[in-house]
Amino acid sequence: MATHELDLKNVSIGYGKNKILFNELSFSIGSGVSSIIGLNGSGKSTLIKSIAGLLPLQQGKIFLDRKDTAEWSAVEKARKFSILLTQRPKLPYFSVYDFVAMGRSPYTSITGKLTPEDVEQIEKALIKCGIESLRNSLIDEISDGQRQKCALACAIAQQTPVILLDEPTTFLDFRSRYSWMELLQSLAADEGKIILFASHDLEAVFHFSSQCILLTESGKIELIVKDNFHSSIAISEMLKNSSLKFDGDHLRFLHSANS
Amino acid sequence: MLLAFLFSLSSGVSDLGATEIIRILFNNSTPELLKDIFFQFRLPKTFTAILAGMALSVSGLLMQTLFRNPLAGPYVLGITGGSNLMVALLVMGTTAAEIQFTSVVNNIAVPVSAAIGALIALFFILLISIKVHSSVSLLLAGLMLGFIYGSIQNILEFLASPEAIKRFTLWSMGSLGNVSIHQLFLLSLFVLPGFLFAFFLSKQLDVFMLGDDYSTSLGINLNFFRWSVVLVTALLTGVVVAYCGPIAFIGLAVPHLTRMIWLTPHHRILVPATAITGATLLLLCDGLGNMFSNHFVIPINIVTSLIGAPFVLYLLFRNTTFQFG
Repeated sequence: MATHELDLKNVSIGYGKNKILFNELSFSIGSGVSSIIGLNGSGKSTLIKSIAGLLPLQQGKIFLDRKDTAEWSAVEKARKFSILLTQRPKLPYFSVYDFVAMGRSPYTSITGKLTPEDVEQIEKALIKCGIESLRNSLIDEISDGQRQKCALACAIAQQTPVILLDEPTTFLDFRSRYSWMELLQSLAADEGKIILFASHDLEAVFHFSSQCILLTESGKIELIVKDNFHSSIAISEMLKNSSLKFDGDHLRFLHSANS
Repeated sequence: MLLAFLFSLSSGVSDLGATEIIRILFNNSTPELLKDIFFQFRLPKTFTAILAGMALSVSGLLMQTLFRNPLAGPYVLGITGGSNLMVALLVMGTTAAEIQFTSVVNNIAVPVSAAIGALIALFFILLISIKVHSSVSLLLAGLMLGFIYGSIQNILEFLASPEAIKRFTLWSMGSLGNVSIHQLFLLSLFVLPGFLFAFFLSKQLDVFMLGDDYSTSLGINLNFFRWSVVLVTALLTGVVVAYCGPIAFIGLAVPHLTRMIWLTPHHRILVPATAITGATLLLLCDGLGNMFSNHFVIPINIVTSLIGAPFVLYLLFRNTTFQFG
Protein backbone atom coordinates (compact mmCIF):
# COMPACT_ATOMS: atom_id res chain seq x y z
CA MET A 1 0.00 0.00 0.00
CA ALA A 2 1.37 3.38 -1.03
CA THR A 3 1.59 6.09 1.58
CA HIS A 4 1.55 9.81 0.95
CA GLU A 5 2.96 12.97 2.39
CA LEU A 6 1.55 16.50 2.32
CA ASP A 7 3.95 19.36 3.02
CA LEU A 8 3.16 23.03 3.49
CA LYS A 9 6.28 25.18 3.14
CA ASN A 10 6.18 28.85 4.28
CA VAL A 11 2.58 29.13 3.24
CA SER A 12 0.64 32.35 3.88
CA ILE A 13 -3.10 32.01 3.72
CA GLY A 14 -5.88 34.57 3.59
CA TYR A 15 -8.06 36.72 1.38
CA GLY A 16 -5.62 39.01 -0.40
CA LYS A 17 -2.42 40.63 0.85
CA ASN A 18 -4.33 42.82 3.31
CA LYS A 19 -6.17 39.99 5.05
CA ILE A 20 -3.62 37.32 5.87
CA LEU A 21 -4.90 34.77 8.40
CA PHE A 22 -1.74 32.67 8.68
CA ASN A 23 1.76 33.79 7.83
CA GLU A 24 4.50 31.41 6.72
CA LEU A 25 2.95 28.17 7.93
CA SER A 26 5.05 25.07 7.59
CA PHE A 27 3.93 21.61 8.58
CA SER A 28 3.78 18.13 7.20
CA ILE A 29 1.19 15.36 7.52
CA GLY A 30 1.29 11.79 6.29
CA SER A 31 -1.22 9.04 5.52
CA GLY A 32 -3.77 8.70 8.29
CA VAL A 33 -6.50 10.78 9.85
CA SER A 34 -5.49 14.28 10.94
CA SER A 35 -7.69 17.06 12.22
CA ILE A 36 -7.83 20.83 12.41
CA ILE A 37 -9.39 22.50 15.43
CA GLY A 38 -9.82 26.09 16.47
CA LEU A 39 -12.42 28.58 17.61
CA ASN A 40 -14.99 30.13 15.28
CA GLY A 41 -13.29 32.42 12.79
CA SER A 42 -9.85 30.92 13.43
CA GLY A 43 -9.54 29.99 9.75
CA LYS A 44 -10.21 26.23 9.68
CA SER A 45 -12.29 26.35 6.49
CA THR A 46 -9.88 28.83 4.89
CA LEU A 47 -6.97 26.48 5.57
CA ILE A 48 -8.87 23.48 4.16
CA LYS A 49 -9.90 25.42 1.04
CA SER A 50 -6.37 26.77 0.52
CA ILE A 51 -4.86 23.28 0.68
CA ALA A 52 -7.51 22.09 -1.81
CA GLY A 53 -6.56 24.90 -4.19
CA LEU A 54 -9.94 26.64 -3.92
CA LEU A 55 -8.27 29.77 -2.54
CA PRO A 56 -4.97 31.08 -3.94
CA LEU A 57 -1.96 30.95 -1.62
CA GLN A 58 -0.62 34.39 -0.74
CA GLN A 59 2.87 32.93 -0.45
CA GLY A 60 4.70 29.61 -0.21
CA LYS A 61 4.18 26.19 -1.73
CA ILE A 62 2.27 22.99 -1.06
CA PHE A 63 3.88 19.69 -1.99
CA LEU A 64 2.19 16.32 -2.28
CA ASP A 65 4.66 13.43 -2.36
CA ARG A 66 7.40 16.03 -2.97
CA LYS A 67 5.64 17.40 -6.09
CA ASP A 68 4.70 21.08 -6.23
CA THR A 69 0.89 21.22 -6.49
CA ALA A 70 1.04 24.67 -8.14
CA GLU A 71 2.46 23.04 -11.26
CA TRP A 72 -0.60 20.82 -11.75
CA SER A 73 -3.53 21.59 -14.04
CA ALA A 74 -7.05 21.82 -12.57
CA VAL A 75 -7.78 18.21 -13.61
CA GLU A 76 -4.48 16.88 -12.25
CA LYS A 77 -5.25 18.59 -8.93
CA ALA A 78 -8.76 17.09 -8.96
CA ARG A 79 -7.17 13.62 -9.18
CA LYS A 80 -5.12 14.33 -6.04
CA PHE A 81 -7.40 16.36 -3.74
CA SER A 82 -11.09 15.85 -3.06
CA ILE A 83 -13.09 17.97 -0.66
CA LEU A 84 -16.27 17.70 1.33
CA LEU A 85 -17.85 21.02 2.24
CA THR A 86 -20.82 22.16 4.29
CA GLN A 87 -22.47 23.75 1.22
CA ARG A 88 -25.71 22.09 0.13
CA PRO A 89 -26.81 23.48 -3.24
CA LYS A 90 -30.26 22.65 -4.59
CA LEU A 91 -29.84 20.02 -7.29
CA PRO A 92 -33.14 19.33 -9.02
CA TYR A 93 -33.35 15.97 -10.84
CA PHE A 94 -30.00 14.78 -9.38
CA SER A 95 -30.31 11.25 -8.02
CA VAL A 96 -27.87 10.02 -5.37
CA TYR A 97 -26.14 8.00 -8.12
CA ASP A 98 -25.83 11.08 -10.37
CA PHE A 99 -24.34 13.05 -7.50
CA VAL A 100 -21.78 10.40 -6.54
CA ALA A 101 -20.92 9.98 -10.25
CA MET A 102 -19.79 13.63 -10.32
CA GLY A 103 -16.73 12.39 -8.43
CA ARG A 104 -15.63 10.66 -11.63
CA SER A 105 -15.64 13.85 -13.71
CA PRO A 106 -11.84 14.32 -13.55
CA TYR A 107 -11.57 10.96 -15.34
CA THR A 108 -14.48 11.00 -17.82
CA SER A 109 -14.59 12.16 -21.45
CA ILE A 110 -15.65 15.63 -22.57
CA THR A 111 -19.38 14.78 -22.34
CA GLY A 112 -19.07 13.04 -18.98
CA LYS A 113 -20.09 9.57 -20.19
CA LEU A 114 -19.16 6.89 -17.65
CA THR A 115 -16.90 3.94 -18.54
CA PRO A 116 -17.21 0.49 -16.85
CA GLU A 117 -14.25 1.50 -14.63
CA ASP A 118 -16.15 4.64 -13.54
CA VAL A 119 -19.27 2.59 -12.79
CA GLU A 120 -17.22 0.16 -10.71
CA GLN A 121 -15.69 2.96 -8.63
CA ILE A 122 -19.12 4.57 -8.07
CA GLU A 123 -20.58 1.23 -6.93
CA LYS A 124 -17.68 0.71 -4.51
CA ALA A 125 -18.15 4.22 -3.09
CA LEU A 126 -21.91 3.70 -2.64
CA ILE A 127 -21.30 0.42 -0.80
CA LYS A 128 -18.52 1.84 1.39
CA CYS A 129 -20.78 4.65 2.55
CA GLY A 130 -23.78 2.33 2.97
CA ILE A 131 -26.03 4.28 0.62
CA GLU A 132 -26.44 1.76 -2.21
CA SER A 133 -30.17 1.46 -1.45
CA LEU A 134 -30.58 5.23 -1.94
CA ARG A 135 -29.06 5.23 -5.43
CA ASN A 136 -32.30 6.24 -7.18
CA SER A 137 -33.50 8.69 -4.52
CA LEU A 138 -33.38 12.36 -5.40
CA ILE A 139 -30.54 14.11 -3.62
CA ASP A 140 -32.81 17.03 -2.62
CA GLU A 141 -35.24 14.65 -0.92
CA ILE A 142 -32.92 12.71 1.42
CA SER A 143 -31.94 13.73 4.96
CA ASP A 144 -28.96 15.96 5.75
CA GLY A 145 -27.04 13.01 7.22
CA GLN A 146 -27.65 10.85 4.15
CA ARG A 147 -26.61 13.72 1.93
CA GLN A 148 -23.39 14.04 3.89
CA LYS A 149 -22.70 10.36 3.19
CA CYS A 150 -23.33 11.00 -0.52
CA ALA A 151 -20.78 13.81 -0.45
CA LEU A 152 -18.22 11.43 1.06
CA ALA A 153 -19.10 8.76 -1.52
CA CYS A 154 -18.47 11.39 -4.21
CA ALA A 155 -15.04 12.12 -2.69
CA ILE A 156 -14.27 8.38 -2.49
CA ALA A 157 -15.31 7.91 -6.14
CA GLN A 158 -12.85 10.68 -7.01
CA GLN A 159 -10.05 8.27 -5.95
CA THR A 160 -7.71 10.92 -4.58
CA PRO A 161 -4.82 10.31 -2.16
CA VAL A 162 -5.98 13.32 -0.10
CA ILE A 163 -9.52 13.86 1.21
CA LEU A 164 -10.21 17.20 2.91
CA LEU A 165 -13.36 17.59 4.96
CA ASP A 166 -14.89 20.72 6.47
CA GLU A 167 -17.12 19.98 9.49
CA PRO A 168 -17.92 16.44 8.30
CA THR A 169 -19.94 15.37 11.34
CA THR A 170 -22.20 18.43 11.52
CA PHE A 171 -25.32 16.79 10.11
CA LEU A 172 -24.79 13.33 11.58
CA ASP A 173 -26.50 11.75 14.56
CA PHE A 174 -24.45 10.29 17.43
CA ARG A 175 -24.32 6.74 16.02
CA SER A 176 -23.63 7.82 12.44
CA ARG A 177 -20.81 10.06 13.66
CA TYR A 178 -18.90 7.07 14.96
CA SER A 179 -19.46 4.84 11.94
CA TRP A 180 -18.52 7.81 9.73
CA MET A 181 -15.24 8.40 11.55
CA GLU A 182 -14.49 4.66 11.49
CA LEU A 183 -15.00 4.73 7.73
CA LEU A 184 -12.51 7.60 7.43
CA GLN A 185 -10.05 5.65 9.54
CA SER A 186 -10.40 2.54 7.37
CA LEU A 187 -9.89 4.62 4.20
CA ALA A 188 -6.67 5.91 5.68
CA ALA A 189 -5.55 2.51 6.95
CA ASP A 190 -6.56 0.38 3.93
CA GLU A 191 -5.74 2.76 1.09
CA GLY A 192 -3.04 4.96 2.63
CA LYS A 193 -5.06 8.13 2.12
CA ILE A 194 -4.39 11.41 3.88
CA ILE A 195 -7.64 12.41 5.60
CA LEU A 196 -7.65 15.93 6.99
CA PHE A 197 -10.82 17.22 8.62
CA ALA A 198 -11.72 20.50 10.30
CA SER A 199 -14.14 20.14 13.16
CA HIS A 200 -15.63 21.51 16.34
CA ASP A 201 -16.42 17.94 17.34
CA LEU A 202 -13.52 17.48 19.76
CA GLU A 203 -14.68 14.01 20.78
CA ALA A 204 -14.23 12.85 17.19
CA VAL A 205 -10.93 14.70 16.98
CA PHE A 206 -9.49 13.06 20.13
CA HIS A 207 -10.74 9.57 19.34
CA PHE A 208 -10.05 9.29 15.66
CA SER A 209 -7.25 11.58 14.56
CA SER A 210 -3.61 10.63 14.92
CA GLN A 211 -2.52 14.25 14.94
CA CYS A 212 -4.25 17.55 15.36
CA ILE A 213 -3.48 21.01 14.00
CA LEU A 214 -4.67 23.60 16.49
CA LEU A 215 -5.22 27.10 15.09
CA THR A 216 -4.58 29.71 17.76
CA GLU A 217 -6.12 33.15 18.00
CA SER A 218 -2.74 34.75 17.29
CA GLY A 219 -2.60 33.21 13.81
CA LYS A 220 -0.12 30.50 14.80
CA ILE A 221 -0.54 26.73 14.68
CA GLU A 222 0.30 23.96 17.13
CA LEU A 223 0.81 20.45 15.80
CA ILE A 224 -0.22 17.96 18.50
CA VAL A 225 0.26 14.21 18.07
CA LYS A 226 -2.26 11.79 19.59
CA ASP A 227 -0.04 10.76 22.52
CA ASN A 228 0.25 14.40 23.61
CA PHE A 229 -3.46 15.30 23.42
CA HIS A 230 -3.95 14.76 27.15
CA SER A 231 -1.09 17.05 28.16
CA SER A 232 -1.59 19.73 25.55
CA ILE A 233 -1.11 23.21 26.96
CA ALA A 234 -2.32 24.67 23.68
CA ILE A 235 -5.75 23.07 24.10
CA SER A 236 -6.00 24.41 27.66
CA GLU A 237 -4.87 27.82 26.40
CA MET A 238 -7.64 27.81 23.84
CA LEU A 239 -10.15 27.69 26.72
CA LYS A 240 -8.78 30.58 28.74
CA ASN A 241 -11.34 33.28 29.60
CA SER A 242 -14.13 30.70 29.33
CA SER A 243 -15.99 28.63 31.91
CA LEU A 244 -14.65 25.38 30.37
CA LYS A 245 -11.67 23.39 31.56
CA PHE A 246 -9.79 20.68 29.64
CA ASP A 247 -9.63 17.33 31.46
CA GLY A 248 -6.61 15.80 29.74
CA ASP A 249 -6.81 12.48 31.56
CA HIS A 250 -10.22 11.73 30.12
CA LEU A 251 -9.92 13.88 26.98
CA ARG A 252 -13.07 15.81 27.79
CA PHE A 253 -14.18 19.29 28.73
CA LEU A 254 -15.64 20.20 32.07
CA HIS A 255 -17.79 23.16 32.92
CA SER A 256 -16.27 25.02 35.87
CA ALA A 257 -19.59 24.79 37.77
CA ASN A 258 -19.41 20.96 37.65
CA SER A 259 -15.69 20.39 38.09
CA MET B 1 -40.83 17.36 -34.53
CA LEU B 2 -41.57 16.00 -38.02
CA LEU B 3 -45.27 16.82 -37.62
CA ALA B 4 -44.40 20.32 -36.38
CA PHE B 5 -42.05 20.67 -39.37
CA LEU B 6 -44.85 19.77 -41.80
CA PHE B 7 -47.30 22.00 -39.90
CA SER B 8 -44.97 24.98 -40.20
CA LEU B 9 -44.13 24.19 -43.83
CA SER B 10 -47.77 24.05 -44.88
CA SER B 11 -48.83 27.23 -43.06
CA GLY B 12 -48.64 30.73 -44.49
CA VAL B 13 -50.65 33.50 -46.11
CA SER B 14 -50.48 32.03 -49.61
CA ASP B 15 -52.61 29.06 -50.58
CA LEU B 16 -49.92 26.42 -50.33
CA GLY B 17 -51.14 23.49 -48.27
CA ALA B 18 -49.76 20.04 -47.61
CA THR B 19 -51.10 18.62 -50.93
CA GLU B 20 -49.42 21.35 -52.97
CA ILE B 21 -46.16 20.83 -51.10
CA ILE B 22 -46.18 17.09 -51.89
CA ARG B 23 -46.86 18.01 -55.52
CA ILE B 24 -43.94 20.43 -55.57
CA LEU B 25 -41.62 17.83 -54.11
CA PHE B 26 -42.69 14.91 -56.27
CA ASN B 27 -44.27 16.41 -59.41
CA ASN B 28 -42.65 18.83 -61.81
CA SER B 29 -45.94 20.09 -63.23
CA THR B 30 -46.57 22.48 -60.29
CA PRO B 31 -46.81 26.18 -61.27
CA GLU B 32 -43.51 28.06 -61.01
CA LEU B 33 -45.05 30.67 -58.70
CA LEU B 34 -45.93 28.06 -56.08
CA LYS B 35 -42.46 26.52 -56.41
CA ASP B 36 -40.91 29.95 -55.85
CA ILE B 37 -43.08 30.59 -52.81
CA PHE B 38 -42.10 27.21 -51.43
CA PHE B 39 -38.35 27.41 -52.02
CA GLN B 40 -37.87 31.15 -51.46
CA PHE B 41 -40.17 31.67 -48.49
CA ARG B 42 -41.67 28.60 -46.84
CA LEU B 43 -38.62 26.39 -46.68
CA PRO B 44 -36.27 29.14 -45.36
CA LYS B 45 -38.93 30.21 -42.82
CA THR B 46 -39.33 26.66 -41.51
CA PHE B 47 -35.59 26.05 -41.26
CA THR B 48 -35.20 29.46 -39.59
CA ALA B 49 -37.77 28.37 -37.00
CA ILE B 50 -35.72 25.21 -36.34
CA LEU B 51 -32.42 27.08 -35.97
CA ALA B 52 -33.91 29.94 -33.92
CA GLY B 53 -35.76 27.51 -31.64
CA MET B 54 -32.56 25.51 -31.11
CA ALA B 55 -30.42 28.58 -30.47
CA LEU B 56 -32.77 30.38 -28.07
CA SER B 57 -33.65 27.33 -26.01
CA VAL B 58 -30.04 26.12 -25.71
CA SER B 59 -28.86 29.61 -24.74
CA GLY B 60 -31.65 29.68 -22.11
CA LEU B 61 -30.45 26.34 -20.75
CA LEU B 62 -26.85 27.59 -20.63
CA MET B 63 -27.89 30.76 -18.82
CA GLN B 64 -30.01 28.90 -16.27
CA THR B 65 -27.02 26.71 -15.46
CA LEU B 66 -24.47 29.55 -15.53
CA PHE B 67 -26.51 31.71 -13.15
CA ARG B 68 -27.85 28.65 -11.29
CA ASN B 69 -31.13 30.48 -11.65
CA PRO B 70 -34.33 29.00 -13.09
CA LEU B 71 -35.60 32.44 -14.10
CA ALA B 72 -32.62 33.14 -16.36
CA GLY B 73 -33.21 33.45 -20.07
CA PRO B 74 -31.96 35.69 -22.85
CA TYR B 75 -35.11 37.83 -22.87
CA VAL B 76 -35.67 38.34 -19.14
CA LEU B 77 -32.04 39.10 -18.31
CA GLY B 78 -31.82 41.88 -20.89
CA ILE B 79 -29.57 40.02 -23.35
CA THR B 80 -32.10 40.45 -26.15
CA GLY B 81 -32.38 44.15 -25.18
CA GLY B 82 -28.59 44.52 -25.47
CA SER B 83 -28.71 43.02 -28.97
CA ASN B 84 -31.60 45.29 -29.94
CA LEU B 85 -29.69 48.36 -28.80
CA MET B 86 -26.54 47.45 -30.70
CA VAL B 87 -28.48 46.81 -33.90
CA ALA B 88 -30.32 50.12 -33.38
CA LEU B 89 -26.94 51.84 -33.09
CA LEU B 90 -25.75 50.17 -36.29
CA VAL B 91 -28.89 50.78 -38.33
CA MET B 92 -29.49 54.35 -37.20
CA GLY B 93 -25.82 55.24 -37.12
CA THR B 94 -25.20 54.06 -40.68
CA THR B 95 -28.37 55.75 -41.92
CA ALA B 96 -27.41 59.04 -40.23
CA ALA B 97 -23.90 58.84 -41.66
CA GLU B 98 -25.40 57.94 -45.06
CA ILE B 99 -23.32 54.79 -45.22
CA GLN B 100 -24.72 52.23 -47.62
CA PHE B 101 -23.61 48.70 -46.83
CA THR B 102 -23.68 46.08 -49.53
CA SER B 103 -26.10 43.27 -48.73
CA VAL B 104 -23.17 40.94 -47.91
CA VAL B 105 -21.68 43.39 -45.40
CA ASN B 106 -25.14 44.10 -44.00
CA ASN B 107 -25.79 40.37 -43.58
CA ILE B 108 -22.66 40.05 -41.46
CA ALA B 109 -22.69 43.46 -39.72
CA VAL B 110 -26.18 43.02 -38.25
CA PRO B 111 -25.58 39.61 -36.59
CA VAL B 112 -22.10 40.60 -35.43
CA SER B 113 -23.40 43.80 -33.83
CA ALA B 114 -26.29 41.86 -32.27
CA ALA B 115 -23.84 39.31 -30.86
CA ILE B 116 -21.62 42.12 -29.50
CA GLY B 117 -24.70 43.69 -27.89
CA ALA B 118 -25.61 40.34 -26.32
CA LEU B 119 -22.03 39.87 -25.13
CA ILE B 120 -21.93 43.29 -23.45
CA ALA B 121 -25.34 42.73 -21.84
CA LEU B 122 -24.24 39.29 -20.61
CA PHE B 123 -21.05 40.77 -19.21
CA PHE B 124 -23.04 43.32 -17.18
CA ILE B 125 -25.46 40.74 -15.83
CA LEU B 126 -22.57 38.40 -15.01
CA LEU B 127 -20.91 41.20 -12.99
CA ILE B 128 -24.17 41.80 -11.15
CA SER B 129 -24.60 38.08 -10.49
CA ILE B 130 -21.29 38.05 -8.59
CA LYS B 131 -22.80 40.46 -6.03
CA VAL B 132 -26.48 39.51 -6.26
CA HIS B 133 -27.24 35.88 -5.45
CA SER B 134 -31.01 35.92 -5.10
CA SER B 135 -32.87 34.68 -8.20
CA VAL B 136 -35.50 37.39 -7.93
CA SER B 137 -32.97 40.20 -7.44
CA LEU B 138 -31.02 39.04 -10.48
CA LEU B 139 -34.21 38.95 -12.51
CA LEU B 140 -35.04 42.50 -11.39
CA ALA B 141 -31.50 43.59 -12.27
CA GLY B 142 -31.99 42.07 -15.75
CA LEU B 143 -35.28 43.91 -16.15
CA MET B 144 -33.68 47.20 -15.06
CA LEU B 145 -30.84 46.74 -17.55
CA GLY B 146 -33.50 46.01 -20.18
CA PHE B 147 -35.17 49.35 -19.31
CA ILE B 148 -31.85 51.16 -19.65
CA TYR B 149 -31.15 49.60 -23.08
CA GLY B 150 -34.74 50.36 -24.11
CA SER B 151 -34.45 53.99 -23.01
CA ILE B 152 -31.20 54.53 -24.91
CA GLN B 153 -32.85 52.91 -27.91
CA ASN B 154 -35.81 55.33 -27.56
CA ILE B 155 -33.43 58.30 -27.48
CA LEU B 156 -31.79 57.03 -30.67
CA GLU B 157 -35.19 56.63 -32.31
CA PHE B 158 -36.15 60.13 -31.18
CA LEU B 159 -33.05 61.58 -32.83
CA ALA B 160 -33.09 59.40 -35.92
CA SER B 161 -34.41 60.25 -39.38
CA PRO B 162 -37.75 58.77 -40.47
CA GLU B 163 -35.92 56.49 -42.91
CA ALA B 164 -33.70 55.07 -40.14
CA ILE B 165 -36.69 54.57 -37.84
CA LYS B 166 -38.49 52.72 -40.63
CA ARG B 167 -35.50 50.43 -41.22
CA PHE B 168 -35.13 49.69 -37.53
CA THR B 169 -38.85 49.23 -36.84
CA LEU B 170 -39.11 46.74 -39.70
CA TRP B 171 -36.21 44.79 -38.23
CA SER B 172 -37.42 44.97 -34.61
CA MET B 173 -40.91 43.66 -35.38
CA GLY B 174 -39.14 40.42 -36.06
CA SER B 175 -40.26 37.50 -38.10
CA LEU B 176 -39.12 34.07 -39.07
CA GLY B 177 -40.18 34.84 -42.63
CA ASN B 178 -37.70 37.61 -43.39
CA VAL B 179 -34.68 35.35 -43.68
CA SER B 180 -33.43 34.64 -47.19
CA ILE B 181 -31.69 31.43 -48.25
CA HIS B 182 -28.29 33.18 -47.98
CA GLN B 183 -29.08 34.55 -44.54
CA LEU B 184 -30.28 31.11 -43.50
CA PHE B 185 -26.89 29.75 -44.48
CA LEU B 186 -25.17 32.40 -42.33
CA LEU B 187 -27.58 31.72 -39.47
CA SER B 188 -26.71 28.02 -39.54
CA LEU B 189 -23.03 28.92 -39.70
CA PHE B 190 -23.39 30.56 -36.28
CA VAL B 191 -26.03 28.32 -34.66
CA LEU B 192 -24.72 24.84 -35.47
CA PRO B 193 -21.14 25.40 -34.18
CA GLY B 194 -22.63 27.19 -31.14
CA PHE B 195 -24.84 24.18 -30.45
CA LEU B 196 -21.91 21.77 -30.84
CA PHE B 197 -19.76 23.87 -28.50
CA ALA B 198 -22.60 23.87 -25.93
CA PHE B 199 -22.80 20.07 -26.24
CA PHE B 200 -19.08 19.74 -25.59
CA LEU B 201 -19.51 21.82 -22.42
CA SER B 202 -21.97 19.17 -21.10
CA LYS B 203 -19.75 17.67 -18.42
CA GLN B 204 -18.65 21.04 -17.11
CA LEU B 205 -22.25 22.26 -17.04
CA ASP B 206 -23.24 19.20 -14.93
CA VAL B 207 -20.42 19.74 -12.47
CA PHE B 208 -21.00 23.51 -12.29
CA MET B 209 -24.45 22.84 -10.80
CA LEU B 210 -22.70 21.68 -7.61
CA GLY B 211 -21.33 25.17 -6.87
CA ASP B 212 -18.07 27.03 -7.47
CA ASP B 213 -16.00 25.24 -4.81
CA TYR B 214 -17.04 21.73 -5.77
CA SER B 215 -16.60 22.56 -9.48
CA THR B 216 -13.02 23.71 -8.87
CA SER B 217 -12.24 20.66 -6.75
CA LEU B 218 -13.58 18.46 -9.57
CA GLY B 219 -11.22 19.97 -12.11
CA ILE B 220 -13.24 22.74 -13.75
CA ASN B 221 -11.34 25.87 -14.74
CA LEU B 222 -14.06 28.31 -13.70
CA ASN B 223 -12.85 31.36 -15.62
CA PHE B 224 -12.48 29.47 -18.87
CA PHE B 225 -15.83 27.75 -18.34
CA ARG B 226 -17.74 30.97 -17.54
CA TRP B 227 -16.37 32.84 -20.54
CA SER B 228 -17.02 29.89 -22.85
CA VAL B 229 -20.66 29.82 -21.78
CA VAL B 230 -20.98 33.60 -22.07
CA LEU B 231 -19.53 33.58 -25.59
CA VAL B 232 -21.72 30.72 -26.81
CA THR B 233 -24.83 32.25 -25.27
CA ALA B 234 -24.11 35.68 -26.73
CA LEU B 235 -23.48 34.15 -30.14
CA LEU B 236 -26.64 32.03 -30.14
CA THR B 237 -28.89 34.80 -28.81
CA GLY B 238 -27.34 37.62 -30.79
CA VAL B 239 -27.55 35.92 -34.14
CA VAL B 240 -31.22 34.98 -33.70
CA VAL B 241 -32.16 38.47 -32.53
CA ALA B 242 -30.31 39.88 -35.52
CA TYR B 243 -32.17 37.83 -38.11
CA CYS B 244 -35.54 37.21 -36.47
CA GLY B 245 -35.97 40.03 -33.94
CA PRO B 246 -36.80 39.51 -30.28
CA ILE B 247 -38.59 36.23 -29.51
CA ALA B 248 -39.73 35.84 -25.91
CA PHE B 249 -40.18 32.84 -23.61
CA ILE B 250 -38.55 30.14 -25.75
CA GLY B 251 -35.26 30.54 -23.88
CA LEU B 252 -36.95 30.62 -20.49
CA ALA B 253 -39.64 27.96 -20.83
CA VAL B 254 -38.12 25.27 -23.08
CA PRO B 255 -35.28 24.17 -20.75
CA HIS B 256 -37.85 23.59 -17.97
CA LEU B 257 -40.18 21.74 -20.31
CA THR B 258 -37.27 19.54 -21.40
CA ARG B 259 -36.22 18.76 -17.82
CA MET B 260 -39.82 17.83 -17.02
CA ILE B 261 -39.92 15.45 -20.00
CA TRP B 262 -36.50 13.83 -19.52
CA LEU B 263 -36.19 14.08 -15.70
CA THR B 264 -32.41 14.31 -15.91
CA PRO B 265 -29.72 16.77 -14.78
CA HIS B 266 -27.26 15.62 -17.48
CA HIS B 267 -26.49 18.25 -20.07
CA ARG B 268 -25.29 15.70 -22.64
CA ILE B 269 -28.99 14.76 -22.81
CA LEU B 270 -30.44 18.18 -21.98
CA VAL B 271 -28.53 20.16 -24.64
CA PRO B 272 -29.74 18.11 -27.64
CA ALA B 273 -33.17 17.48 -26.09
CA THR B 274 -33.64 21.20 -25.39
CA ALA B 275 -32.59 22.01 -28.96
CA ILE B 276 -35.14 19.54 -30.38
CA THR B 277 -37.91 20.72 -28.04
CA GLY B 278 -37.12 24.38 -28.79
CA ALA B 279 -37.14 23.77 -32.53
CA THR B 280 -40.41 21.83 -32.30
CA LEU B 281 -42.10 24.49 -30.17
CA LEU B 282 -41.06 27.34 -32.45
CA LEU B 283 -42.25 25.38 -35.51
CA LEU B 284 -45.63 24.91 -33.79
CA CYS B 285 -45.76 28.60 -32.81
CA ASP B 286 -44.96 29.53 -36.41
CA GLY B 287 -47.72 27.26 -37.70
CA LEU B 288 -50.19 28.63 -35.15
CA GLY B 289 -49.32 32.23 -36.06
CA ASN B 290 -50.16 31.50 -39.66
CA MET B 291 -53.31 29.43 -39.28
CA PHE B 292 -55.83 32.05 -38.09
CA SER B 293 -56.06 34.05 -41.29
CA ASN B 294 -55.07 33.89 -44.94
CA HIS B 295 -54.47 37.64 -44.94
CA PHE B 296 -52.02 38.25 -42.15
CA VAL B 297 -49.50 36.50 -39.89
CA ILE B 298 -49.54 36.95 -36.11
CA PRO B 299 -45.99 38.04 -35.13
CA ILE B 300 -44.05 35.10 -33.71
CA ASN B 301 -43.26 36.98 -30.48
CA ILE B 302 -46.98 37.24 -29.67
CA VAL B 303 -47.54 33.50 -30.19
CA THR B 304 -44.52 32.47 -28.09
CA SER B 305 -45.61 34.84 -25.31
CA LEU B 306 -49.19 33.51 -25.34
CA ILE B 307 -47.90 29.94 -24.98
CA GLY B 308 -44.78 30.57 -22.88
CA ALA B 309 -46.16 32.93 -20.22
CA PRO B 310 -48.92 30.56 -18.99
CA PHE B 311 -46.38 27.72 -18.93
CA VAL B 312 -43.98 29.72 -16.75
CA LEU B 313 -46.93 30.62 -14.46
CA TYR B 314 -47.73 26.91 -14.23
CA LEU B 315 -44.12 26.20 -13.24
CA LEU B 316 -44.25 28.89 -10.56
CA PHE B 317 -47.39 27.33 -9.06
CA ARG B 318 -45.95 23.85 -9.36
CA ASN B 319 -42.89 25.23 -7.54
CA THR B 320 -41.12 21.93 -6.82
CA THR B 321 -38.70 21.85 -9.73
CA PHE B 322 -38.56 25.57 -10.40
CA GLN B 323 -35.77 26.06 -7.91
CA PHE B 324 -32.00 25.88 -8.12
CA GLY B 325 -29.43 26.42 -5.39
